[in-house]
Amino acid sequence: MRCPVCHHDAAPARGVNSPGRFAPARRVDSPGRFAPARGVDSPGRFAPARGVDSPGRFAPARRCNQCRRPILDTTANPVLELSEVTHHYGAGDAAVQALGGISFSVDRGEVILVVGPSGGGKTTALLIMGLLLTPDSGSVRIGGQEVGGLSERDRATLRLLRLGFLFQDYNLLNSLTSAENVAVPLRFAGVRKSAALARANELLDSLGLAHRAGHRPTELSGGEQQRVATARALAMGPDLILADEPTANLDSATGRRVSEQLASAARAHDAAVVIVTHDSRLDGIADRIVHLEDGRILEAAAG
Amino acid sequence: MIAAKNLLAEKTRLVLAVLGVAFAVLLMLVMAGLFVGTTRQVTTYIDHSRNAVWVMQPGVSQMFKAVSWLPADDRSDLLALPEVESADPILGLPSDFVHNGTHTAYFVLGYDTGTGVGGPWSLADGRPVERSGEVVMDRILAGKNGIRTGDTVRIIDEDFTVVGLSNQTAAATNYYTFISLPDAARLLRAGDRVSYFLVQPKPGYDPDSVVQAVRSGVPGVDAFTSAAFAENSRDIIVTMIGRPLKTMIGIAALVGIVLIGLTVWALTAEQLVDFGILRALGVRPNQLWRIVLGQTAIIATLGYLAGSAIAFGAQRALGDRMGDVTIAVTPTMLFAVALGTAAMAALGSVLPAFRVARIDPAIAFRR
Repeated sequence: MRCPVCHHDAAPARGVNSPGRFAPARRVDSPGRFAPARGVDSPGRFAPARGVDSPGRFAPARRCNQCRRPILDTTANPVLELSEVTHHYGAGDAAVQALGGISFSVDRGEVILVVGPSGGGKTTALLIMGLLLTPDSGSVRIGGQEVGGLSERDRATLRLLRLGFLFQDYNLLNSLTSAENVAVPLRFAGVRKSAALARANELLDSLGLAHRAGHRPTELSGGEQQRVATARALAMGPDLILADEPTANLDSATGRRVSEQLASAARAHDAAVVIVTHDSRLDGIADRIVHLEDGRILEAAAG
Repeated sequence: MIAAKNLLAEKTRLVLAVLGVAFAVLLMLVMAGLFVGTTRQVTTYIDHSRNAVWVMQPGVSQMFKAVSWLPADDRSDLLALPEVESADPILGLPSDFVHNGTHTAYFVLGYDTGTGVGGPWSLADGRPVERSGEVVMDRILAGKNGIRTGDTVRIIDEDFTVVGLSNQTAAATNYYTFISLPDAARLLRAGDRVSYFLVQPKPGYDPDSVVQAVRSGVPGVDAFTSAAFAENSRDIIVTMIGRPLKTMIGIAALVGIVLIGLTVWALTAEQLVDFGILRALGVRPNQLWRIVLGQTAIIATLGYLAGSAIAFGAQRALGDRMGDVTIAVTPTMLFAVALGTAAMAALGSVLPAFRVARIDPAIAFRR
């Protein structure tokens, strides 16, 4: 197993699901299918898997000897799986259904667009996929790991290690340089500073931003900021990148270039990408397009 | 890294935050320094009586809130004791110095100009008193009233010529003015009485044994070592000014906590979205606490250093310029205030830390 940060050969993870290890769930049902979870956990319930893994107790015990990045087991496909996920805002008569039981899965290297009208449930779905919102019911699996029973601390760890995020407003920290921004997830994951900055510079270079590594966000154009954010999303070598309207604040040419770079970089890193967008110009970069309206998936078409 | 970078990114904000903490630290150090300085300086006259044993009227145990009268001929009884080398009378009473319509409380002291015992020990200008009609004034009291050597001043109800200005004879509540013993006896209507005898032990005797010898060997007097007499006198001053000053120190500490708390709170509020972004990226609440605490620690440390430096500067400036107001910033005080600042910082960052821990990471998607 090669460390995605420093490319140092790391020893393979011992065993499949040693307790205390960041190990993916090995479900009883076949992973990689666009199907609701019907495993040992109750069907249709947002409950932790009661399988061989012990959700809520994972913490990567081993780290790369070179850069100190936590060593994760390679996850099986699909990297993301939503099954019958529902969510409401408010309660009682005032309750508004945001998601009415959506199911879909995303494989490694896949780029998926989630499109639909405002209020259709795209952002809610994104927040749930990003472990930032707990659905009312249904199952969410990241890399095979049922996340429903995870503590907030474990969800944060999962976000840090397995997910990357891109935001509409880039959300870079203005006090940090581009390289430092990219290194943020690495540093919080315990990666050595030198290794984190080397990785950041490598990613910025691959995105054509080597000359902007020492600049702060306020000195960058919107397109450059979003490319820095892309590098940050890729920094940990995530399984999945979640992007919320990443081109909304960019002109069409820049938006297209940034999203193409995102897609190709993600594929190069074998990461899946889910892009929530109104931007129909991105259709060309997607492997699949999911239409979400009134909280339901209308169709899933090839991109 | 982020803690320091966040602070450095907004230099004006950092400077204001540091100044806020520095002000709180300064307030505490100045208050505590005033307290220590005043209580130290107020007994300066007793402290400069060297190793003397103070002999006074029974029932008098301190100098400032009691009047001691002793028969002058007690001196021969004291000198008759085998432990006693010398016994020098001093006659002093608090009075009101009036000059050009300005009133100042001061202490008039008569001493034996022949021996110089009980007289000024350091002169800023001029010479000691040599004869009747001459006075050595505290230089701060003189300076405040525009009095110079050679000027004529009114002491009680007689005119005196200022022949010297003394150093180290001013405290917040006392200025010492020195005249000859006969002049003091006349002005204070003392007749054949004195206030105290300053007794020096013979070689081989320590002050404590002299105290015991005086108490048992000379009827109608009491005695204290200069250290005990100074301590008793200081205690009286502490009971007079200690409570208000300690209250002010407490208020300063509270102000410090509130200042640091508000500063960190404002800082946290400004960075709330950034903290939300970090939470969304997967940074755990305890890691965010560390950022908040790191920022607080940086601000508190810089504020402490700045406040301490200003307090030190104020100590020197006030000591040189005013003389009667002394701020004594001691290493113990600096250590205590450092601990206090750390406590203030910890208390001040509690609410911001809780606020950060409760940030909804979804805020990153809702800018």
